Parts: sequence; structure tokens; C-alpha cells
Amino acid sequence: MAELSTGAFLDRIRTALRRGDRRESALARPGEPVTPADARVHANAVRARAVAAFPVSLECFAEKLTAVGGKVHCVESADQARRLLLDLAAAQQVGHAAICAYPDLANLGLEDALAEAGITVTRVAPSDWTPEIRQALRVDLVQADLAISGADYAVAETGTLVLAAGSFNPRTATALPRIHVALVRPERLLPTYQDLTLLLKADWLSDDSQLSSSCFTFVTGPSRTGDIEQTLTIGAHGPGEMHVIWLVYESR
Amino acid sequence: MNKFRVSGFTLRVLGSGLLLSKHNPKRETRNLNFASRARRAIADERLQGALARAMDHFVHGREIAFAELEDPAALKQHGRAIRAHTLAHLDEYLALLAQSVQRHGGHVHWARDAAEANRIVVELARERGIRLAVKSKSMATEEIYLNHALESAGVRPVETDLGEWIIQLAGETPSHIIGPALHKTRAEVIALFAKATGRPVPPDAPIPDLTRIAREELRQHFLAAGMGISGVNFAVAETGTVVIVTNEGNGRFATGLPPIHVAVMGAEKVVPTWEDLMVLLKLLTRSATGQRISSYVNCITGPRRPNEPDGPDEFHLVILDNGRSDVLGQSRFREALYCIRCGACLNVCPVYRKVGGHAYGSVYPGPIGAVLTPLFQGLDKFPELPHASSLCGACKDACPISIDLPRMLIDLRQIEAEGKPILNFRFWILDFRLLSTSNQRWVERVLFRLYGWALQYPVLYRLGAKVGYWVQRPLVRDGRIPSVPVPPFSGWTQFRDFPQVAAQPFHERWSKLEDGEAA
Repeated sequence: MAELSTGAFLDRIRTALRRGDRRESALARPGEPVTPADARVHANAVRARAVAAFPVSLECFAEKLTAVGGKVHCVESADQARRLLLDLAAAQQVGHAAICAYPDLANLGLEDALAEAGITVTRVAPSDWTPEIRQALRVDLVQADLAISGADYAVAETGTLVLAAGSFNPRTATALPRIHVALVRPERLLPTYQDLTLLLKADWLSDDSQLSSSCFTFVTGPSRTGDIEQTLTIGAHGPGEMHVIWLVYESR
Repeated sequence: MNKFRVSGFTLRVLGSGLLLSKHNPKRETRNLNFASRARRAIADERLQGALARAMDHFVHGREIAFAELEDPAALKQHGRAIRAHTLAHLDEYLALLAQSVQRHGGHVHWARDAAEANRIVVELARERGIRLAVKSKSMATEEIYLNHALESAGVRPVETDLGEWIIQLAGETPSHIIGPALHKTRAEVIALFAKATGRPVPPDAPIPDLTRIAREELRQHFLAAGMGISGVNFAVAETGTVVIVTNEGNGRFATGLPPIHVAVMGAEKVVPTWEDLMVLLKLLTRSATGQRISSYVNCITGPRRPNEPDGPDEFHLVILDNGRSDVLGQSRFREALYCIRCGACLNVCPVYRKVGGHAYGSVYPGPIGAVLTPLFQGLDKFPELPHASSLCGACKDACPISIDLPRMLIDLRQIEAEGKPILNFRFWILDFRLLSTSNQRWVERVLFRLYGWALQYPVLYRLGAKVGYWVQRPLVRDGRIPSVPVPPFSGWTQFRDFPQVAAQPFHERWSKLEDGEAA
């Protein structure tokens, strides 16, 4: 039997709806959807508000992320960022690190610092992602102990980072290694999910409703499971340790 | 339906003619399967211990997570409004979802039932020569028995959610929507892992070690699999985005590593916009595990873009009907489709808390299962499930969408009791259903009619109370009736004592009080 066509499937639904209570079909939309154009109009205001609210948002973010086992740090210079990263790497016996070349990480000199400490570094930067290069990258990511990334957004409400898959950020880069460290600039921190949704639409959704990233991952702390006897274990398939380092200084 | 009750006899319509036999209640499936499975579950000490631990843990988590919200009632109302609006316009939103998925390079497949959905997924695997598939947790794939279909076609499915992997190794079905292996002890898990990995596992291995074993073992499969199969917590129509919620990270690997990603969703899981998604996500994680948000939420729109270093080259969304459009068309049951699969109703149900998931005999247990299973698979196959409830209403209170499960359970019981009349004769309290599909015993029907008739006349009610007091005398011990030897009333006193009819009923005491006041 051939697969059901779109029309045939939807016809079954339409017939069912007609059979049902007509009053229900007139149910009003709870809230108006925001179009990409609307979103872009309001984006700057949302960003400005977020920047102004940073101190309060940071406190909320730190509280929420720490509560689920993530670690939050603030550094006041690129030098401090490098030293903190090296300390974390040393404490966890990191031999191989993968760095996703987020713009926020540029000029921090992380790769050189790690290399000097004797750590193998895989740099993930925009490239011609041929199958061979992709396969080689996968091998590197599987071997890496530490994933270093930035974040596209952060949400204070739940202590969450939002990472968009992109030319320097493979979906699995921050999932395969056992430690994930994200370095994030303050202006990326948003108070609520409402703000996030608006900016996601403004930044990633074109006017003809095309999303330019195939995968947005919301990351909140390390991986965990409670499936055996309801006992919580931190560290399941994803990283067992997760750090967020806020770069609270003026960028050059 | 080719089996009918004919006043005390059962009439079976067979290919070769009609067969009339004496009605034997024991041969009826009603109450037999659920009751016997429930009895077995209650006697199972390990299961009772596991349930005691898990249920309060879930309930406590949910209560704390909702208590910290500014206005939980408003959030629940908003969630319900979104679900109601979506289901009332389901065809439009599904059409939009399909367009959006296709616009981003994904493929959409429509499955009228389980067999078709399985055929689609198996065909996708066969066409590509796939022998190994990794799965992240999906109730929809459990509903259609996808693993069985894949295995029959020579494709090995490996579950990667820790709880799902455990029950896959044990050859069992999930016992809870959120914690499928909550009925398994650490010792049982150790034995399963030792067998699966072929390596010895110390009998005192702590749970973190067991988790590490699962991580190492399953990672090999993630990297080798030709296909990743996932469920869909929500699918956003405006952009064609499927949303997958996990804590372990297995969702990221199952959908990110293999070259093809197949997502299977029930048609009712569509959500109009990202703004709506955020409301429902908030309700889902807090209700399911008491978390503000799960460790990972993956929002996936089509296959990888050309500039992305990893991700599947193909994305397929399988949209499943399997009885949902039938439920949609029944006004009084439509809200059963509002369910977001959080499992909160299970955790507060006095029946589920005692018997666990397997007693329900189908993939969806608990209050929502008692409604959906008969609706999806036929009330005639599961006539006892709507009765597996004390109608306490805890499920409706716990539900983040305030689905009126108690009302639907009563409606199902009514449908089951009335059946479809084919040939019947009614006069006063006599109701001869000479031919009907009802499961209700004629004794019950006559007695209820008698009761309903007598209650209309106060004189009869009072006479009944007096007569009842005298008739019960031989059965009363210490002010209670411990046992009524006459079936079907004997069922009432099997597990509890019946209170006695008072010597002086309330209406007499009330009259005396009123007379006393007037005096």
C-alpha cells in the first residue's frame, strides 16, 4: 500500500474536526505570533535592556546553574581567562582540547596557552566541510577531553546557554568530551525566554521564514540521569562537568 | 463485535453460524487481566519498594518546581489554551509544519497507523543498507512497537536513554512514561549490564560506575549507527522545528551523529509558534521531573546546513495518526489529546502508585493510559481500564494542562455499560437487552434501575432504609458488615468491611432535631 499523501492524512483530521463540537473550532489564539520583521524592530531594545540588567541577571544565572551542578566564574581580563582555563584543564588532567572558534573567544589566546601547557588542541573554524575533513574532525572530538566554546545566548531564568550549530560549532562538539567550558561575553545574557525567542527570530530567521541553523541546543549544566533506583548521577552520555566563564571586561 | 449478551447467555456469531452458550463470567476478559496483573504487582515486594521511592520523589519535585513560579495557575491556563487552540485547528498546523520542514530540506511522511509508520522507517533503513540504529526515548515508537518491526527486518535498534536501554536488555516494556526502568533494582541492572557488555560487573558496583559502563558501551553504538531515531516532545509549526528534551545527552548524539535522523511524532504534538513552545516546555520539565529545564533541549530544523561541520545529511519526520483523528472527532474525548506526556498523573494516582505500569497492559499507563488506551485500541479490548480508578481527581489537579481525566473515565464507563443496543425491551425497571454489545450484567442493570426509581419517592426510600436495617441483621458484626456471601455483592466486601445501615437513619434524626427546635 502506498504511503498516505498529505491531503489524505489531513482530510481525516478535517473530517474529525467537523464531527466534533463546532464551538471548539472557533477558539481564539492565545497570544499573537511574532514575525521576524517584528522581532528585528524590537531586538535593539531587548538587547539594551538585557545589558542594563546584567548584574541582576548574572546573580540569577549563577544561582540557577550552580543549583544543577554547573560552575560559574567571572574573569576581569583575557589573562585571567587563560589562567583559569589552564587551571581547570590541569585539575582534570586534560590531554586534548577542542576549541570552537566563537567570535567571543578571538583574541583570548587560548590555543597558544593550552599548547604551551602541552595540551593537544583541535581548532574548529569555518572550513570546506568535505566528508574527509568532517570524519577527521569527528575522530578528534571523540578523543578530546575538553570542549571550549562560546555561546550565542544565555538565559538567566534557568542558567541556560544556547548554542547554535554553525560553521565553527558542530552539534556534538560540546557533547562528546567529558568537560565543557564556555566563555561568554555579558551582552549575551538575557533575563527571560521571551527575550530569547525574540532575538532568535531576529537573528536567525529570514523574512521568508528560513532558519539558518539546523540545531539550537539549550545546555543547562552537566549531563545527568536518575534512571537507576531514582538515584541522581551527574555525568551520563554528555559532559560530566560544565563551566561558564563570564568575560566581564571591556573588549579591545 | 461478534459476541453478544442475550439475557444470561452469550451469543457468538461465527463464520459457520450462531453459537449460544451459558454466560460464564470467568471466560469474560473484563477485570480478569487487569485484576490478576494488579494482584501480582501488589504482591511483588521489589516493585512496591521501587514505587514507594519513585512516586514521592516525582511528586515532591513537581510541587517545588511549581511553587517557585509567580503564577502557576495562569501558566497552566495558558498551556491549556495553546493545546485547545492547536487541536481545534490541527489540520492547519500540521500542514504548516510539513511545509516548514520541507522548506528546510527535511522530508515528511504521514502514517495512518502503526503498521504504516513501521513500514516507513524500515523502508528508510533498507533503502540505505542500514543495520544498526540508535534510539533516543520515544513513547510514540513504543506505541507502534517499532523496535520489533526493525528487528524483524534485520535492523538492530539500540535504546540509548539509560532507562530504555535497561528495559530493552530485560526484554520488557516501560513501566512509567518518564522513568521506564523505575521498577528495576541496582542488582538487576548489574546483571543486565554484565550480560550486555560480556564483562564482569562487581555486585557492589555503585550507580555512577553503572552509568559509566552504559556511557562507554552506548558510545560505540552512537558512532557506528547508520540511523538515529528520536521521538518529538514538540514540533513547532512556524519553522518546522522538532524539539527533543533529554538530561543524559543521548538525544544530542542520536540526532547529531548518524547520517540520517528519523523523528517519529504523534500528530497532536504540534505547537504553533516558538512563543507557545516556551510555555509548554516550562510546563513539561517542571511537571515531569521537577526541573526548571532539562540538561539539554535540542531544537532541530531539517538536516545539517552545508556550512555545518556535523549533523545528519537527511532528516525525516514521521507523523502518526494511529487512532488520534478518531479521538479528535469525539468532542468529549478530544482533550485527551492535549496530553504533553509529563507523567504527573501517574505519580499521584492511588491505583498506579500501587500497581505500577505493567498492570495496565499497554504502553501508556496510569490515568492518561486508562483513557487513551481504550480510545486508541478499542474499549472492547480494554474494558477494565476505565474502572482502574477511584475517581479521586488527583490526576486532574496534577495535570499541567488540567485535562479532565475523571470525567472521561466516567464517560468511558458509560459507553461500556450502555453498549450498542440491537434488540431490547424496556418496561419500568425491566430492561431486557435481548441483543446488545454492553458488558453490563443484567442483574446490575435491573438493580440500578430499581435504585434510581425508588430514590424518586421519599416514602420508598424510607421504607427501604427500615427494611435494609432488618435484612442486614444476620450479617452485622460489631457495627460493620465484614462479608456479604451473595455475588455480586461479595466483591464489595472482599477487601473491606461495609458500614451497616443505621437503626436510626439520618432523616429520622433530622426530623427529631427539627421537632426539638420547634418545641
